[in-house]
Amino acid sequence: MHFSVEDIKKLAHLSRLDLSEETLMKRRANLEKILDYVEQLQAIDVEGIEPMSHAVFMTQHRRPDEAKAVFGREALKVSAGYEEGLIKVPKIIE
Amino acid sequence: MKTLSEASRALELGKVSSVELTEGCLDAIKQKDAELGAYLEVDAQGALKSAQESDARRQGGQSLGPLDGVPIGIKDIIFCKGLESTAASKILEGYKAPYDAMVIQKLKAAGAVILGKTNQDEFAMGASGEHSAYKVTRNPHDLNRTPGGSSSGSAVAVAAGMGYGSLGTDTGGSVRQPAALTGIVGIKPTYGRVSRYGVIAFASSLDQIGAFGSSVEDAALMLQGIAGYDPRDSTSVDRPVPDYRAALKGDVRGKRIGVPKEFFSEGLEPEVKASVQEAIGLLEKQGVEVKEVSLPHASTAIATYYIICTAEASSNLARFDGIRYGPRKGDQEGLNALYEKTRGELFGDEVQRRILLGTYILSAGYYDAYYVRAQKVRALIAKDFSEVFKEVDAIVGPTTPTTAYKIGENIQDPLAEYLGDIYTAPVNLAGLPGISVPGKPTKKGLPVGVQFIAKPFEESLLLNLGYALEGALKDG
Repeated sequence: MHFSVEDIKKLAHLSRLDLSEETLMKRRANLEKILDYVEQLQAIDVEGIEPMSHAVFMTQHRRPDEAKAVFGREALKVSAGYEEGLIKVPKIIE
Repeated sequence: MKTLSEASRALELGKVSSVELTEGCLDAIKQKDAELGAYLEVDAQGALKSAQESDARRQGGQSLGPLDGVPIGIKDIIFCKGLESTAASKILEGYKAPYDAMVIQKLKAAGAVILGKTNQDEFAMGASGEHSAYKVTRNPHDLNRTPGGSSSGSAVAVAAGMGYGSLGTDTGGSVRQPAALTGIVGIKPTYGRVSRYGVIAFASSLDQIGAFGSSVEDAALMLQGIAGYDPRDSTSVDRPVPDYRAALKGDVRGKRIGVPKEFFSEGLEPEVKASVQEAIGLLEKQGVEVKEVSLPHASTAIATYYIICTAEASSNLARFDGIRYGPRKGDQEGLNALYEKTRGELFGDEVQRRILLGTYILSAGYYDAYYVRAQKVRALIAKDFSEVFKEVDAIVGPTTPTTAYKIGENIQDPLAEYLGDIYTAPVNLAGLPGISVPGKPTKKGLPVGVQFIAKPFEESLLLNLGYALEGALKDG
């Protein structure tokens, strides 16, 4: 597996990670090695096998449609942008 | 008193108070933890208050049971209301849990005393305790070695007498592996047995809360305190919880145990192999029937695991965007800069590696080739186990291929670190319960773990097998 500089930069952007050139190159080397390792799965015969998305088969629980207490605006205080019951963010529409 | 069970009995007999036990643990933390690095936050005041309340209850004849007044440690990734819950990451620095996780609600209702939050690999990603953003945790058996991870601090707290029990999380081995490397007992219950409400998610189809103790009985008591259905975790299973301590009969005659040949091949350290084989021999003497079995896809577990867990992690960790929690970076440069700088500066190396890999795997054009294929191989791994369980009641083997390695040894080679989970990750992929119980240590005195694996919800059998081994090693 080989990532071009452009590939790894695109991947970092998709991952919302701003990384220095040096860190990017280190991450690229790690990723290439790990992807080479997981390549072994391509050799396994999975014909007719259903993908397993969860460890146990279960149907989702249902509960009566009743209102329950939730956290109030207090819970927003954990944000660094908290101001008077709201969270302040940078301008979204350029 | 060394074990939780002994402490619990002494409390019951009035030989010791909870305040004395708690002060003992707090003193041990003061003396040892600067060197060991097991705790991120110690809540001395809160712990002593809970201990006083426990003593008052007991004096009034109102004890809440075997955990009442027993001091324990909690992995940082699990919410304890009012205490910091950073998952050992800088991206959550200063974040205080707004509520108690279900397991904490249960432990508090059982009277347990919470000493504080234990160190771990950041977001439970890592197997050495070196990936904490705050400090490295050291192995009390040899300070130059790692204690394993990711529940590094929880394991060391118990191994070094800085808590009688503790909680960890196990996604690919993060309870059993550090238990093995520090010489204590660690149990990972069946997926769905314990509610994850209030635990920061890493890989949701694999994560499960587990418990540490100095003995098998300790692990049984801790598991008893946390198991049970919770409608707030959609993967929680509504099924009665048995009496785990009552299962510790020590009689294992006629039990059929499978030894997977794949767990004894290449990469297994000779001294670990000898210790596990000796343990199997001791069980045979107690009347266990041992036979060789095969898990043909087990060797692919690490590749499968790293595709599934990184895909799920990249999605779960998208919520850490600098907006909702923790510190912000790049606030003045627009929204994208805020996201990218916060995550680029505040996530550690291992977390970034996994987010990048997971994002790649889930991206258009690669999803089927990696993610869907890994889910199919996962089904094959699970099927191997169910085939074997048609012939045997449980599986036994090593918990880890090696003893604890030196700090820094694998830091530049993530793949080498990942391979340490080769015997534990298949168990998570199949959603099964597993336990690590100490075998005979190596000549140098390094701990070795013996792992038992059973069918879903057969924790009682695992505990009884572990108990039988523990007894045989003591007698031998």
